[in-house]
Amino acid sequence: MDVEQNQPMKHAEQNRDSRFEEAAGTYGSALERLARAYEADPDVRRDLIQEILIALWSSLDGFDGRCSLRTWVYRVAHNTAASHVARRMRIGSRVFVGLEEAVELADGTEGEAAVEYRDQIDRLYALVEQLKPLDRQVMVAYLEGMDAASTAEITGLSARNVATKIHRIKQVLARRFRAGGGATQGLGEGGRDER
Amino acid sequence: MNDESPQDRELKELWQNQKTEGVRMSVAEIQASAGRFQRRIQGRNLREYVAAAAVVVFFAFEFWRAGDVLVRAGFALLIAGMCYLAWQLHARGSWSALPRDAGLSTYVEFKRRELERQRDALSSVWRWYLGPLVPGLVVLMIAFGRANPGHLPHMWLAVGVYGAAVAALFIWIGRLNSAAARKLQKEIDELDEGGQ
Repeated sequence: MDVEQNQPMKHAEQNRDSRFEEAAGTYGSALERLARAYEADPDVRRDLIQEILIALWSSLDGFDGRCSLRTWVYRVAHNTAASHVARRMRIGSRVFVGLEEAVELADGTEGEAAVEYRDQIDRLYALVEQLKPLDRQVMVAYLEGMDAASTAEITGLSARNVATKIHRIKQVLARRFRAGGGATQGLGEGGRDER
Repeated sequence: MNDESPQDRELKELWQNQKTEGVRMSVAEIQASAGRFQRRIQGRNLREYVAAAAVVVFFAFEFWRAGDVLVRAGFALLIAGMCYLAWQLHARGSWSALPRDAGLSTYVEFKRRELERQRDALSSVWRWYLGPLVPGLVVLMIAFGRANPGHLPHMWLAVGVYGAAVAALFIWIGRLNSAAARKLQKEIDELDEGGQ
């Protein structure tokens, strides 16, 4: 009788485990890129990836198909990573900027036509890491090739706000990475916070 | 996003094709790590209980040593206040695993809940953090003033100054927390704007 009663639970656990294998297999690399966007220190980043995977595995108990597995995975990953950033904020004194400010923020290398591959990746991360978590999520989703609707579903922003942010992301990328760009203005102090 | 420039496409490709470390965890490894994480939380909770117990034991010792009824009543109230405060700190503790429904919540919902929790804790600091200690402290101050009438020529003045200093400290802590709660409310409002 006990064996029969345990069957549904065992089945649910197997479901969770197989969903986890599927999610980790499909989105493993994307999750690593996401973790890199939130944590620059390689050792701490490995811990963050593990934390995301544990949170994902635990959460899949409650996965009921109301959203796609991809949306679920990204929500868990972003929420875990943002909590990680909030914890690190309490320890350090790092401030983040919004996309509005990032448009005006120079990184000193604008307009260089022949930038090495590694440099470009590093500069992308340098840009992403200075953004507030919500803007960072939109930026990561954009770079991962997600459409505005998926980004809105993950972040909870309205489609209109996602569209505005994507417009600003394009402006930032244009200033930072296109030849001929030239943002030289300094960064204003107002509006920096953890959000 | 059809108006995407070739440069934007290149950047996306660059981002998506970058080399990753290939960090993988099997279900067995995940289960072991989740267990370790749970034990860390339990260990942290245990340390909190031990710290609270040490303070309560100290007050209990003073209660036992005191001869005066009012002093004893003061320490008894302080013990009760400390127990309530420790329970509240535990119940409101933020260091925990991510909620299991994290995948159901968008970032805005998730962050809003967290900010609301912090705001409520800060704005009600008199009710659960400062307030519970006040009766014990007041009774103890009265008891000390009453129990030593001839010990100091201006005992009541000393008690009054001490009481005023404690009250000023409590009011200052309360105001700091109210200001922090208002800042959090501003962040909540900004989040709400983003969701509209």
